[in-house]
Amino acid sequence: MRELKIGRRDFLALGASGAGALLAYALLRGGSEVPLLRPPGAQDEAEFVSRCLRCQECVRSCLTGCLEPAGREYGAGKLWTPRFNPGLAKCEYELCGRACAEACPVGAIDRPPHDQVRIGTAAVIRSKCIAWRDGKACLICQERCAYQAIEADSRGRPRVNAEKCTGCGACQNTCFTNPDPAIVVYVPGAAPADDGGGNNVNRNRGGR
Amino acid sequence: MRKRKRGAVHWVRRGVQAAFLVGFILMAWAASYPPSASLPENLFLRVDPLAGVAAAMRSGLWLYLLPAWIILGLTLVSGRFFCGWICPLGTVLEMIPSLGRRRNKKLSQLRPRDLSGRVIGEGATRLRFKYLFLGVLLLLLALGVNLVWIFDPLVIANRAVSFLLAGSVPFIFIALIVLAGLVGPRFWCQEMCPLGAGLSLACMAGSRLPAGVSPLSLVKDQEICTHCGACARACPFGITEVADSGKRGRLAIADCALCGECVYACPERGALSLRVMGRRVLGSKERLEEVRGPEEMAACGN
Amino acid sequence: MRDIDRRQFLERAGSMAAGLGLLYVASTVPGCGPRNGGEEAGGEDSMASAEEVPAPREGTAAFEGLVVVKGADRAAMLRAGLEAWGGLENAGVPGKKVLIKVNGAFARPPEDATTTHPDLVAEAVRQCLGAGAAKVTVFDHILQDLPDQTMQTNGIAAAARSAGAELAVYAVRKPGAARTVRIPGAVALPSAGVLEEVFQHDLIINMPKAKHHSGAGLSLSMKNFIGVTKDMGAMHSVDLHRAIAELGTVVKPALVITDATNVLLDHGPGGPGRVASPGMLIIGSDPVAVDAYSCGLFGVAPAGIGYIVQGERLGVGTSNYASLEIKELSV
Repeated sequence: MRELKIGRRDFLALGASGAGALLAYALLRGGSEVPLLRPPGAQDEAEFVSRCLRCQECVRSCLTGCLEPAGREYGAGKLWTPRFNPGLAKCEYELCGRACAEACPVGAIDRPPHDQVRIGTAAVIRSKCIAWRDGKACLICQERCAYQAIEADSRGRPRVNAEKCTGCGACQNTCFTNPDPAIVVYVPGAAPADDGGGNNVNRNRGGR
Repeated sequence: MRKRKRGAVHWVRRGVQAAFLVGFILMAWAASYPPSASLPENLFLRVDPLAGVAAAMRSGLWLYLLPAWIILGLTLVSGRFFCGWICPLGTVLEMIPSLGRRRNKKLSQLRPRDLSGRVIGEGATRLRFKYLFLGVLLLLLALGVNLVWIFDPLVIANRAVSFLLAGSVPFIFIALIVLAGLVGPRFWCQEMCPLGAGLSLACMAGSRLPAGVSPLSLVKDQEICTHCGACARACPFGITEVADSGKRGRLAIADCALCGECVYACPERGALSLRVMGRRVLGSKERLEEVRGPEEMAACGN
Repeated sequence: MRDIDRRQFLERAGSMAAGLGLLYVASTVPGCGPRNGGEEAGGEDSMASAEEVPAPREGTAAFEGLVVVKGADRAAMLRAGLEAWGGLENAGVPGKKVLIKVNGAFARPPEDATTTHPDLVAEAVRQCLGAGAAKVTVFDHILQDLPDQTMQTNGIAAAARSAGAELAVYAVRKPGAARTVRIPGAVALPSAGVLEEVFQHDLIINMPKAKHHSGAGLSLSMKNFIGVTKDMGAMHSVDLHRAIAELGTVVKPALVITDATNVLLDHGPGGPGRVASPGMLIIGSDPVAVDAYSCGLFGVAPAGIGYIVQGERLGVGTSNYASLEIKELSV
């Protein structure tokens, strides 16, 4: 058998990659197991993250501009994957022809039919909502909801109907409560049963 | 130093590289709503066989990625023309002025050496990093861990354009530029790039195919070659096998990007040629005597 | 590497540094930058006094009462109604730039009764131009990300353009420039950020859709006027109804034309819900009176709508429409 030798250039290549990997690990260590909101059709998180090339094509092709590359705070494994941020815009999946799915070169985003889209579920954070907390007449979230998923009780206080909510983010995008919106979209299955506490990490940093 | 005369093929290649680079940047820049029906903005990524394998392994999209298989098939018969003529990252790296120089070295100084400094000659195989690297990436992919996105050159380039437009530059892009500047512009392409490694494997798989079926090939006439090493010195990829290879006819060298610089440098008429489907489009010519000085005559040879 | 002398080393290092610098500069070129989303960072809004806000001159209303038109042909109804009112020439339109504030906030077809009917918008534009307006702009400021698409779906964009008006529609996240107007004595809305678009005109015509509204009870002309400001949030946070009334003290329309040809009875403001067709237009210069009359279509007393009560209290108008002359027409 021929003798196997390691060349100097290969050693250099190994060194360069190793240094790069160490640096990347040091910079991107930590981040969380927090499931991020994803484009419609990319809700299977493990599968999506393993396919996504982080190429940004979906981010750029979005009709409303509601996608952004996930930052370092979400960890190296999810860095630069597309994150749906309702604070930027609502997801208009019925109008856009699923531009994100169309743009993805590796088919990481599925195309469920309109009535099966479930990006997430919204929930009201009662401690922040001015209708719940202060008795004000508002219901702007309900005004903007295109799926009639927000119901108001007799005192004008909003509650989300989880069956109808598609997670499009219109409510979160429009709630003007400072500094964070009082109605927030959670990843499917993660919405608090009886409306919000305040511990949803999908509340956005920067952007609303 | 002798000025190397650059002819038509050289400038055609530069033109093709520039066209693909500009086209790539425009497509990445133009990616917005609505997606174009006629020319998809993600075409470059669908042409990429590494991304294609990564996608197909997870999502079964074999047919959607037909452009990638076409490129792979062409590489089988031609070699790494993609790297030398199309890849936008490669074009950018080739433009980086580098601290590493090899122009005046003797052939013997250019040959790959092992860690102790000895030339890796006949009877020994160089364990090349990039094939291991590709293998590790594909294995991890099969296990569900996707690291391809970090190292695929087209994805890197696409992301770089997107981020530039958003006001920042991804770190790895800068790292590659620095590496190119320190060691050699196409060091990444030759020794690290996993897509390049995959294309190299395809090239080697088709190495027995003759020049007659190859859209672009490098052919060597062993009788005429004097082993002067001018080709190796001229090669932007630092390949010495062109000079060393005893193979007859078409040279399917793993790293060769079919750029034609070796043909321009070769002083022996007909020793090297670039051929399209076997027909010569560029052949090495005799150099006029007065252009070469006596010290350069002595520098040739082993 | 021993081949290189110091000069060449510096040359190459320099050109590499230059290349990296170019890359950095390229990334800061204006035009690069976050592509989408987020509220537009505005600068400080400039101040404006209440007098600068386009308003009809005192006492220029041709007719102090209400005109109520019943019929089926919307364009004909509007023509007859305006004529009965005294004509747009007497609203101060000739030679002026007119802003028509419609309700186009939802991407629903006109049959869903959530937006001002496009036939009415088109006719209003034609009437203004026919009366000698220098320019007519159809304006809205809506709770949507995609104003162009919304206005296409509800038909107002096509109607406005075909009649010869310009279209200025703002998404609530991107209101553009505005001027801060102090509202003296206000407690709910001490100052309003009135959109610059408003200041570019001389007169405002308010063309709301009468409909149910989950938050405010009913959406009528005074509620429709929120869109001239960028203070959607601020208006809700203290007292919505009071804020609407206070806004009405500084921003006054020359004319109100309420579209009650078809109305949304429930699930407003966005619908879909039950639609009724009273086939009515209510025209007047007193927003409180027009709104008070409109309440009757829903079986609601004017005293049951907060901004009508507050509006009367602050002197924006009178809710006792019965005390005014009411001309009723059938077309």
